[in-house]
Amino acid sequence: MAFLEVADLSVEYAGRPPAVAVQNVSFELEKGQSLGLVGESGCGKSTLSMALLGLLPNQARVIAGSIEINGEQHVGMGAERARRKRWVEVAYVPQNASTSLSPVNTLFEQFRHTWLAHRGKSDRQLREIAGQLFRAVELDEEWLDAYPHQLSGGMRQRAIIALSLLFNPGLLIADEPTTGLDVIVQRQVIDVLKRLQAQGEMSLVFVSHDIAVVSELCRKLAVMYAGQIVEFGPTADVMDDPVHPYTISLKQAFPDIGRPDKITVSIPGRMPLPGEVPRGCSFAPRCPFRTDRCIAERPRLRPVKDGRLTACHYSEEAAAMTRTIESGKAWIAMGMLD
Amino acid sequence: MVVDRPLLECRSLTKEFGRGGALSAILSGEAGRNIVRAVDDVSFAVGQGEVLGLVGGSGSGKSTLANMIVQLERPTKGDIVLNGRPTHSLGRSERRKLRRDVQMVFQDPNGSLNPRYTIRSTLEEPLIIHSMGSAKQRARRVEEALEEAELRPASRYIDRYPHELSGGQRQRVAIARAIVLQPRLLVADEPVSMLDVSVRAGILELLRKLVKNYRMAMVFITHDLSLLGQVCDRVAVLHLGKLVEIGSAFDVVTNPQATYTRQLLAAVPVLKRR
Repeated sequence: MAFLEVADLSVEYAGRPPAVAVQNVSFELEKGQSLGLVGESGCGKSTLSMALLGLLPNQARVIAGSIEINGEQHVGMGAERARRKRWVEVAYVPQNASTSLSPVNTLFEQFRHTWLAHRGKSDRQLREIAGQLFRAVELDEEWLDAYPHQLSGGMRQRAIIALSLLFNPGLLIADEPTTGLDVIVQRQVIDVLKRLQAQGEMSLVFVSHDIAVVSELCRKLAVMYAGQIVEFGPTADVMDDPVHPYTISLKQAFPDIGRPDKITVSIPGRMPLPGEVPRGCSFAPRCPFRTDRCIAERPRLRPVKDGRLTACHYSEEAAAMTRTIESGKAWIAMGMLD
Repeated sequence: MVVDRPLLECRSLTKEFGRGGALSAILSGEAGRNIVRAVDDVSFAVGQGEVLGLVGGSGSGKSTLANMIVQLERPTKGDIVLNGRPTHSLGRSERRKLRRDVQMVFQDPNGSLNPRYTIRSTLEEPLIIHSMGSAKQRARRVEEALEEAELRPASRYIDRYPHELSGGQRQRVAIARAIVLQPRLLVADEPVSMLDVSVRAGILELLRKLVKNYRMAMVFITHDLSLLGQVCDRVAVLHLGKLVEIGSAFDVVTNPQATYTRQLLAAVPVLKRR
């Protein structure tokens, strides 16, 4: 059985009418494996990761589906039980390390507070444990006695990663942990996460809008659009030959350092917000290949080839779609670009 | 890209910031010792119709350099020459005129647009500040600028507020505001880093098109090296305030000369293939 099993999960935000931010999402993640969740802002990737952590805001709730972590159902788990599991079994690395650390405590104090919140009493070995974790993320142990403002942005992000590993969690959820860092600092953070992954003990869900970062870190990739997974598969396969028109378009929109002369093309239009998702395929309004069927009938996530899933009626014709999009002419024919 | 008469020239630009209290430094005899040189003897030129990329890590001095170019900071040493005129000797009113010719596009349209201004007021404000045209002429220019920024038809956007637009559209409004005065030089500081990948290409293409069509020049600041090939004609690499490499965008990306440029390029995440 997989370490993390998400089945048919839907999350709704209260409102009139309520807005479904995550819809019928299913995936599995084996122990020690890594999954990248990519998509544009508002696609539901952060809501999904908050649901995995049991940290949805008050106005949001899981309306259907299940989240099993290490064989235990997390949907409907009481708040106190969820609190005790959080950080011990499922830990979190947020995007912004600067605002996630307490500015008035040294880093070691923050290790101690976290320890006390879960273990109830202090431990003389904690100093040693924290020191080991700092070394694992390539921070000098003496920084434990520093305040967050004394560290650079990249050091703070690595300190948070060290803190997230305090109880050796089975699952780590990292939400855009490198966004906003400069490339050299981003590289340090990626390398630290890569090394942790290589030890094969911890499963990683890595949320990002940057498909290049995900492709370096994650074996598997889920592309989210308007609350749903629209394409799923081994990262390199999906990146090499995507089968969903959204993934194909996203790849074409993405600059590639290895190909400085690549012509990138934006996807016209915008993603529907929760609450305005159309009845049929949610990508249909922006899709250069849409048909009447796409507008009438929402495609379900279905297997298309080895280990690959797609939520498009026409993924069998992906090669032709890719050629049209790469030619840069896909949207001109539709009158969506000038 | 042929560079004719340079529109912008930076000559041996240096900017120093004092660290800590200046008075205490003087009293303790440490004045001059606690100085950070954010930009150190940087010289380059940008021609009409040209896009120059400025890259470097955090703290490399790119933003300080941009602030000096748009006259928000004064250089400690060196000079900025715009259209053949040195800027250091300009008086207050001339400096004001010069600001019209140099406009900036900021990183985050959510922060740089006033949420309580309609798009019309946002774009009209610079025209009013610089006493440009009659009310009618201003209204026409505002519409033109929106259409130039590909917000067409302008009537669909003009009476809206920023929160009613998508991130990409908001950045287009910020670009429209920057070009409404018909400037000669645009300084764009990380203009797409807050935007979704799916809309970035369109914004970059727009900036490039505006520079080419209106014979402007642009200084394009980024830490995302993968963008350079698409946007820039030439690229300048900054490291700890110093210019370490300058050359055509293609050459710098494909055949970097400076060690630091190579380190930067090696750090860029790459799409893995099978």
